[in-house]
Amino acid sequence: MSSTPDTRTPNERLAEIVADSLISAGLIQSSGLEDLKRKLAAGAAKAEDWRRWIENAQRSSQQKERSGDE
Amino acid sequence: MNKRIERITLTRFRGATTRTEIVFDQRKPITFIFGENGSGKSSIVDAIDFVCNQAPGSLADRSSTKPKDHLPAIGHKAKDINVELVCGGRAWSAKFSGAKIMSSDEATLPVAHVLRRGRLLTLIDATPAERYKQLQKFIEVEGVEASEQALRDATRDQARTLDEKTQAKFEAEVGLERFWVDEGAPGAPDQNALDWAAAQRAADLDETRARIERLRKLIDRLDAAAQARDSLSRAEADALRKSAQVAEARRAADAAAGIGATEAMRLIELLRDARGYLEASPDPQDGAACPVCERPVVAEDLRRRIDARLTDMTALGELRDELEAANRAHQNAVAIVERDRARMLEAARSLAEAVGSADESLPAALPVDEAGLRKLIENVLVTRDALIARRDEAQKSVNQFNSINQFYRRIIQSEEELREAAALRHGLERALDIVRRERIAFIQRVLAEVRDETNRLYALIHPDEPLGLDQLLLDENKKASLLQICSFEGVSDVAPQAYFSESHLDTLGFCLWLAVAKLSSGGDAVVVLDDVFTSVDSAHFTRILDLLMAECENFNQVIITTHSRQWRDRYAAQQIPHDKTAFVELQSWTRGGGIRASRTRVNVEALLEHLEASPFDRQIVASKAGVLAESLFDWLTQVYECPLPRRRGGNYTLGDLCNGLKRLAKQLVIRRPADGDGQAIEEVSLLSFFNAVTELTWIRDQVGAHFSLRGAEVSDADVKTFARSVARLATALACPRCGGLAQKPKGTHFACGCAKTMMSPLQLN
Repeated sequence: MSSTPDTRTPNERLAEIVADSLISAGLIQSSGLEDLKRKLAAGAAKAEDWRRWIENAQRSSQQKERSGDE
Repeated sequence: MNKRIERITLTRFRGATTRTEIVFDQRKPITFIFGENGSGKSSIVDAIDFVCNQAPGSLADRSSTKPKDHLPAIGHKAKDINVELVCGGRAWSAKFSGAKIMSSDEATLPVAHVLRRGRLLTLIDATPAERYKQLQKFIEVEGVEASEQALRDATRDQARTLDEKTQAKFEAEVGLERFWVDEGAPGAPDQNALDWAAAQRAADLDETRARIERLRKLIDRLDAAAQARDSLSRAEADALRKSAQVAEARRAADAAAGIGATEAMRLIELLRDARGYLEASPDPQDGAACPVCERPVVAEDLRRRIDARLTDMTALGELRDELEAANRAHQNAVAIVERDRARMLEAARSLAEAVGSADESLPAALPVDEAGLRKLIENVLVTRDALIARRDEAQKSVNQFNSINQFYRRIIQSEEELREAAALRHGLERALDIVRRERIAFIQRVLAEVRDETNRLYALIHPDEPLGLDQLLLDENKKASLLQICSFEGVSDVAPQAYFSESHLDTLGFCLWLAVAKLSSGGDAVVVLDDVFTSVDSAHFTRILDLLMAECENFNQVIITTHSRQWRDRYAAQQIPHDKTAFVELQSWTRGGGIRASRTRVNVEALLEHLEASPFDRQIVASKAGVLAESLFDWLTQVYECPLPRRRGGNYTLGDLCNGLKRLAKQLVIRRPADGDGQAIEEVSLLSFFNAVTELTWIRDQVGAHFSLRGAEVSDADVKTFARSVARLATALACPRCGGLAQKPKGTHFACGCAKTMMSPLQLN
């Protein structure tokens, strides 16, 4: 039991955990972390947001691979 | 900032038939509201629920009730209701808007969790879905769940997109395969349709396209030449017809004039000229010379004769007009023939040029004169169908090439798109898996925390009892379903309803609810317990009290309603620490008076007030002093387990208690703060205090309890001495800081709620 009360809502706490996991798995870029957490917690992440986040991460990863190959 | 409810005002709300204001002591984290059944406790709790949660309170759990109809006080309507609540210096109000409960400044409402006795059992003795519903607002992560659903939708959409792209690629492959098979599957089995298509793409179709263009040009020119030739033929035929019409008109005119047509025409012209002369000179003098024959003429006669002659010549004139028209038409036809001839020759030469460059095995020698050119058109026209067939054949091979190329490009492009779509789908699926797992794990962690906290709280109330909550689990196979697994006597995985007593189930339900409220509120909530503790024995009373004293630190405020007089009496007897608790006492409800509340005074305070009251009521003072002395002695004999006469029913007289305390009185010492800051400690031996009381206890019987002539002989001064002795003892025993009695064993002594006052010894020697 924590002695300092965590005043964040369950949604906010879970959103932070989920965001960290997605970034660790390389599925999402860390640059949009705050936007991701906010939308996750508020239930405002739409299908197009998810596609954009994952496509951006994949594109970034491919670019890094290509620049590494060169 | 202190976010405790300061006061709540009920107007025509439930039992509040008159305007009722309940004031809470801001300095105390716990407020007890005591009242017998029907005094209005639930009305106050419902009012808090009404404002803070916009909920109908206890009516929600009752069948055949409608909040709009049954929340108004008897005889009033929903529109008459108003509830005002002041918390942390801010005010909110709530009323009905139609059938809906509306609170002011909804976004900033104080957080209030309300637990009613009726819901205690529901928490434990419920289906997993109902249990989830009960705890939903504490563990719900609806925002993340909505985002997860959007991710699920995106994953499903992407799977559909992938299927569509796969289908498109398949269709392109089938199309290409068909071409390949139609061509005899060249290269099979070493090569497939795609290999073949790749090779086909390399083919040079420039010559074929050029030949198509040449053939198209040749056919176009042939058609143009044939058309020009036909136009010329039609023009020539027309010119011949027109020529014949001229000859016919001339013959007709000659026959009508009896003279040669030419001469007749000249005469008519002469007569018309003469008439024109006369009209231009309308009044020549008679006898003037004729300008033609130079003989004298009479103008009028001459005019008359000319008209007569011209009238005779009219028919001839018409014939002359027809002849002229025929001549003009013939001349035009001849001109058209010449024009069309020129066009035909130009088209034929253009055709000859196309024939020369077509390379299609056509006449090699190209004529230059009209007859030769006409012959060329005839000769080439004979081959027109063959030329069209050659052009179409060549076009077909180009079209096939284009189709193969298109299929090939679609297949190659589809492969790239499929790779990207599959990667995105894979990414979405992985993300969905992570979000789902983290959500379930998060809730399980919360539930594990809840379980551990529930067990901890339960153990405080029921120490050393083999009961407890092993697990709270989300049912992964069902949405919004919460499983509970308990252990009993070392046997795990049992349903608590089957083995736990009702009071244990109550305690378990209470601990579960409190644990969830505590873990989810982050310390920023008011907790309201509506008649949750009913019949509690002495041992459990102390433990529940200790638990509440400790747990109130985790909330802004704890409000407890109870109909159990034990709580009220223990408060009045200072057995509940006063530094953390306040008591509001409700009087009996009446329709005219509504809910009436007053502050509960501790016994010693009430006694001192009566001591000072005028006129002095000796019976009340003697009675209250006796009851206070009795409650103190009863408490002490229990704390120290003093020997008392064993009686059926466990009832003891004041005399029994005095005797039982004789040994203890000699040993009892109070150490307590002597000043405000608690630095100095004073030590008080209580023997003299006891003696002062026990010597006068007979006053309670003779003045305060019975009719007795001996009692009449007791002076008011003696009654006051007795009362003051009891008050002094009570004051000596209570902590000057927290107002509570030292009743919690701590090392070598008992300590009060704030631990500043100590009572020793710990055990009777």
